[in-house]
Amino acid sequence: MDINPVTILLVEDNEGDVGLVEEVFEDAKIRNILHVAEDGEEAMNFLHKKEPFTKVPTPDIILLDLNLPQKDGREVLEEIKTDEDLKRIPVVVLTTSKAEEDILKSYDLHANSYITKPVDFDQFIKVIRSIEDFWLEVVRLPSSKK
Amino acid sequence: MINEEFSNNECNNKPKKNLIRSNAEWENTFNALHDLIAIIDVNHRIKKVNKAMADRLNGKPEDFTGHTCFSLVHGTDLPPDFCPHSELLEDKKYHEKEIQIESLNGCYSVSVSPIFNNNDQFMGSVHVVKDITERKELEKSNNLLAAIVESSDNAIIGKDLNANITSWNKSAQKMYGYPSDEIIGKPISILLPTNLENDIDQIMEKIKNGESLKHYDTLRRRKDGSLIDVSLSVSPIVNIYGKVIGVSTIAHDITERKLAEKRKQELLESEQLLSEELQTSNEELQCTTEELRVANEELIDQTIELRDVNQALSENEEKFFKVFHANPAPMTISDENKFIDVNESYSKLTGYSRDELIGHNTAELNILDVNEREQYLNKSKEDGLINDIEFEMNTKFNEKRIITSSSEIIKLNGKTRFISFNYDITERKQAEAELNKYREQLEEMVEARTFELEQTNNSLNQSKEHYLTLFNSIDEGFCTVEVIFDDNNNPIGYRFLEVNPAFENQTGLFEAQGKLMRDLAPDHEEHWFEIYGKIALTGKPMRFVNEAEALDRWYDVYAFKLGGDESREVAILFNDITKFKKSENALKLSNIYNRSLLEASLDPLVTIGPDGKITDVNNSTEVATGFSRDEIIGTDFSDYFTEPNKAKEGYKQVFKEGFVKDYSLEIKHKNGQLTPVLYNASVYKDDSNNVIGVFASARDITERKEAEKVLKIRLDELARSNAELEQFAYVSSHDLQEPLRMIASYLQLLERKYKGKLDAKADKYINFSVDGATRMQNLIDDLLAFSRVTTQADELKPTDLEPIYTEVLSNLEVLINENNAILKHDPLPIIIADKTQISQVFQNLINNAIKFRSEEQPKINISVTEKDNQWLFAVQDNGIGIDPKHSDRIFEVFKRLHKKRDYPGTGIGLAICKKIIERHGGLIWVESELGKGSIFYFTLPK
Repeated sequence: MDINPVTILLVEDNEGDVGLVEEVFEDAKIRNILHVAEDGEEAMNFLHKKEPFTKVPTPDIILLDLNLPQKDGREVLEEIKTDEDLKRIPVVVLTTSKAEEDILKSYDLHANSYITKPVDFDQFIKVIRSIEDFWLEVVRLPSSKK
Repeated sequence: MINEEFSNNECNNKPKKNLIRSNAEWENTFNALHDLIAIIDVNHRIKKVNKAMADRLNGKPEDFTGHTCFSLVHGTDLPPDFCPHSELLEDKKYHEKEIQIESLNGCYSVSVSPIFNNNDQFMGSVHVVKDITERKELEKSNNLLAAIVESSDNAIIGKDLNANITSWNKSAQKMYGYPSDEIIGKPISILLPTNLENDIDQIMEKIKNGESLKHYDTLRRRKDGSLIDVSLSVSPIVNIYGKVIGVSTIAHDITERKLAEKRKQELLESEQLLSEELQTSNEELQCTTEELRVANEELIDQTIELRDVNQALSENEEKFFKVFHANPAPMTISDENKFIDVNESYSKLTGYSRDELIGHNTAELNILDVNEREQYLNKSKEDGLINDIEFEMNTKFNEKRIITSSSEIIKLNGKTRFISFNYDITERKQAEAELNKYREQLEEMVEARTFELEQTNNSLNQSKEHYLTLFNSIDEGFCTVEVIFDDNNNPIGYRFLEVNPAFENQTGLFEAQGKLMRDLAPDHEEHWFEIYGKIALTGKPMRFVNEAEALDRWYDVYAFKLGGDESREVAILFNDITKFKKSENALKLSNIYNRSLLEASLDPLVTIGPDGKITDVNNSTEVATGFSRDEIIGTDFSDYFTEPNKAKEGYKQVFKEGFVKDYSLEIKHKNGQLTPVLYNASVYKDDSNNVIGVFASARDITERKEAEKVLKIRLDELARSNAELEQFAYVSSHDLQEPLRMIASYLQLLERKYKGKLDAKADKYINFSVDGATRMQNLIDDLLAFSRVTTQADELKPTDLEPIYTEVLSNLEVLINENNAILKHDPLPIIIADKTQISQVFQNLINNAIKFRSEEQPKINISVTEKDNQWLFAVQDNGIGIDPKHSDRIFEVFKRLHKKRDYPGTGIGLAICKKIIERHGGLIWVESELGKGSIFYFTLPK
């Protein structure tokens, strides 16, 4: 079975976080292609394959930060989960907020999971690895590219 | 005659000498008495009244004699219940009463003394009536003012200039705990707390300078030692001459206000604390007979005349026995059966001619009735004569005439004949009849007048007795003096000639008779000599009120001259009115005092009648409204407020419920300025307990309103700043953490990637940096949790503590097991709380109890006690304890007592507990000693 690389869309405006995530996925067990959208607008364009993303693949999983410039992460989440074509894509909210209201809001909008970014880098690696393990290896996802 | 009677009396009664020489002097004196005097008999009928009484009854003294006193004065058919005379009739003793007499429109003191005549027979009484209306009015007005002072719910305290308490109303008793009989006369300093002893000296100094003190907020000490917050208005009490004679203090209990201020202050402080706590960097935030006698004499003269006429008539009758025919008297000569002859007069009398008569008898002619004729004839035959028989005859013309007939048997020509003499007395009879009638009438009248005269005489005699009784029974002093003049006819003194029994009592001078006033009272003022000298010289009577300082008395005096021009004697009737004068002055003073208390009040005071019209105001009301007292009195109370209807409702409520408290209104000044006030008002009553008006006192709350306004602005600011802080807290969760995470993560990444390529020092630095960043993040998390106690709070609901406790134990299971801790607890109640928060309190306290354990096995006991309206919880441990000097500090944010290494944590746990307990309306504190464990107490309202 040929294993196609997994397509991951990371919606994150903080370059530092982007760097950390990239760092972790570089050493991932499975092949993956990490795409990064730096704000909500760009993320939606990516998903709707608008310019300049006409040629990108539909991601297998979306890692979404809540506090984003322009279009906020919560709006992005709502749009994805109300879009017939996109709602099946697992969205993992990856944020620094530990606020109860953010957690409740996210699940109300049908986020698939909510993870707070740990401060400790080792913890961070663990978290990303567990995302990888769970969402990319354990869980069966609807096949988008059949 | 009159004087003789008095001489008799002298033997029985007290005066050693006859004081009054003539009836006229008696009358003069009697009528000069200022008091209203009436002499009343045993049937309540007035025998005599004096001029003063008659004037009061609007008539002359003689008008009232014979009337009953009750019909005259009270307008009733029977004596009223309170009639002192009725009581005197019962026991024949002195009585005195104060009576309200409606018809005389006033109040009177009535004293009655019994009168006995020479034979010790009870005759009636002397009434001495004094008008005390003015005094009563004064008393009433004074009572009214006093009632107002008494009913005020401010403490009203009067002091003299030595700061000793002179008056003390009910509210003062209530406020300070001292009853008035206990505190009056004591120095005001009794009310001062120890640290404010100099307070009163400063206040007194100001008052003596005529200044007032307005709304001075201070502390005073109650009888029980407790302190009370009061607001004082202190003003000088000024007498009629404008001199400061005392001090009035009006104290208002402001405990509640102070408490409210304190609470507000606390609120402010706690809010400020939060702001300070959260914004160490943000940093700024801030909390009430003669004619009858003549007629009588005329009648007697007429009677005598009539008697003379009668006698003359009898003499005329005798002239008729001489000549028969020529006799003008009707004569007849007859035998037994018929007239033999008649004279012309007879013919005229009967109407028959002589021929018609002769040969017939009276019966045949129907002049006399047959039987009557037979009767006369028989009587003539038997007696030989008849004299003056009166009979009624009929004339030829059938007229009835009354005849008086006398007949005699005579031998006329040897034959027995009857000669009779008839006289027509018809007219005389009629005249006699009328005269008799008239005489009878006259006699009756004479009899009646005689009786009346006797009566009058009697009563005049009795009056003399009455006078004497009067002068023995009245309280008024009476004396006669001889005024002594020097060579220049200037009066230089007087000698007492006679004095009455009351004299001693009235003057305090004993055995004065025969002595000089100067000897009796060397300091007696000159003006007394001058007055009596003037009366003795001019003969003009005088009435006056004057003070005799040497006797220390006031007198109401009526003095008049006795004797002729050369006489230098004066009669003096006087009454000691010192008591009245003093009580009048005392009442006036008391009135001034009460009035000045009210005027001294800086609060606007008003009294309102049942019709809503203002009846009186004090100076403060004039100030608040801009209108003068005269302008205000009589106007509608509601006219002076921005909301007239609310003002009306207010006083109506007072009439209905008896009072109102803190009734908010706004006084409108003439110039438009508004004063927000709180009214305290209550009804006030007259002596008979009838509600006669409302007394209302307003308190200017402008300052308080302003303070409230400022406070509100402050609170709004705080609310806004709170909201900002919330935002700040939220932002902290992201924006502060983000960079921290970057720092930590990349340092670690650096370490990972370049391990071995850096030296050991570099690795250590990276560790410190990562640790610092981690701690910084924990601090931010805890601060966030602390701010969420108020910002993210749930409502307070009945909450069962048992399940919460169980949950807490379960959360701490690991810690409990690791430390082998033993936990015990009382049955826990259901309380009103935020479940999550109260759970956190238990968790934090138990966690601390285990964390700060000693060497011993941790033993933790949780107890609950019910106290008044709250629960008292105690969490006791046997841990390391806390030095008491730190017992406050430990509840502050991020305050730690130990090194992080020994006891990890940020130091936010107890600060959060304190914040939660305070939000629930409770208190939290610790009792502890180093090495002896700690007990954390907290309370929660039930």
